[in-house]
Amino acid sequence: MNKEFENVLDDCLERLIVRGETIEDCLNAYPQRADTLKSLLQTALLTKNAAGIEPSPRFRASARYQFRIALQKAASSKGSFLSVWRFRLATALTTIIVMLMAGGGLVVATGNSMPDSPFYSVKLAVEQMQLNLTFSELDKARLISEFTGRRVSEIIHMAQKGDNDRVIAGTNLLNNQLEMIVGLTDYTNNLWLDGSAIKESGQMVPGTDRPLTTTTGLIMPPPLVTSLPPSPSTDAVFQSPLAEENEAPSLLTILLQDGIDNSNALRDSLSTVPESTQPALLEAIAVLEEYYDAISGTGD
Amino acid sequence: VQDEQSLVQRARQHDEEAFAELYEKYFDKIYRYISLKIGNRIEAEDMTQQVFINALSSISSFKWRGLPFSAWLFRIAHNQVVDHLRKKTRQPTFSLNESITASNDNPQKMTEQNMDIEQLVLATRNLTIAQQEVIALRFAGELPISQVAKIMGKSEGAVKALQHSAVVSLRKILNVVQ
Repeated sequence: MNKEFENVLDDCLERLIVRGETIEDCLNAYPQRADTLKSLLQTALLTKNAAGIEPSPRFRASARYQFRIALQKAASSKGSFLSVWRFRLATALTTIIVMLMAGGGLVVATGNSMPDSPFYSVKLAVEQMQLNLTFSELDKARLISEFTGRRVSEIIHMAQKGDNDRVIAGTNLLNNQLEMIVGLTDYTNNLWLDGSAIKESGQMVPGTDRPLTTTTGLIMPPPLVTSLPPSPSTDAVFQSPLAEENEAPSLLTILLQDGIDNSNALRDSLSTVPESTQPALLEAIAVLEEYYDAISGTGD
Repeated sequence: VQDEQSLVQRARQHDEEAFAELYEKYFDKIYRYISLKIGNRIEAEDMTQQVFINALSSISSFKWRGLPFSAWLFRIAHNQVVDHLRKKTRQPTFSLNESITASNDNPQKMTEQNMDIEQLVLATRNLTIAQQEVIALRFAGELPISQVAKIMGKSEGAVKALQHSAVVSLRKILNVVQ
């Protein structure tokens, strides 16, 4: 009798936990046990909801990045021929391609190419090579942030052409790059993200007269802006003798500014694209907003 | 199962993409399992990362002997939790309300969830060790009863009985009324 009930309860828990069915579904399946089952399933649902916590976006991105590094280290240290061979081949190929293109002005052509262009894969390969040749983690984050601007332009272009598949593919690529930025910045230095370094600098939220931090140290949420001041000069960031000391908050400003610019560009384009690609475009906006929360600390 | 078997096989041969896929599949579940067992977000985050690093370094020793990959991974997590708790001289302090809740974007939902999490972590401390393990594996790890049984080295019938008694105890502790 007890064993039979344990089987019934387990079946209901399986429906509730794994298959996402409701308590009513289970009670309807076992009406003769409904009275006993009801409060147990309510307890189970409470337990399931409480246990279903989500890792924060920042932790998820940071952990993923660090795991990728560990994976690559493991692959190379254990002599994974395939992995090392692929890496060397890719590096050699991109170097050759860039050297060939540099003389013929093709760099400019590929730089503007869109995902439906035959040169697009070359554009991505060149970006990858730029990354391979950038050694500081923070410089990498800044470079990838620049690339995200290109991804956004590509997404808008493909959305305007009604190419839903390429908008989705572009959003996935954008998402990967945004996660890399979060991982790189968090991996390098947690301090600059928690506002402690910024409080000293007295920087403002781009496009507003509000400080980047409140009195509680929290970074203000992204403003809805229609026009923005020019981005801080990247030269200025690194020319100052205090550049190293101030590098982190300055980089944060750049990343936040890029995030706002990208988000605004996508929002502005919403009315210019066919209805069929609007949902995919909204998804890209959501990805950027999640990134903004992670990078500014408001989503963590 | 077939797909996972082939993924694990590729991961054992240092295929980065295969291991990355396994990582994505189990990351959230391992995090939830550890969070429920430890009751502290920061520690849970560190330990979740460590579980996958440990799995990566010992994947070549993994063998299919009726034991699914998930069982192997959760055992790594379980051993890490046990080591962690052993190193602590007293029961962990529950700082879930200060940390895990901060990751939620919805304040209203967060408050409700926070209460639930805190209640759940504290409530599970009143269960037996075996009951706690069943609840963590089943509800946080979202594992089927067959895998929970394999991880715990018990029969499915024994795990179902533990599950039953654990839910009954939780109902009393949480004072769930119909």
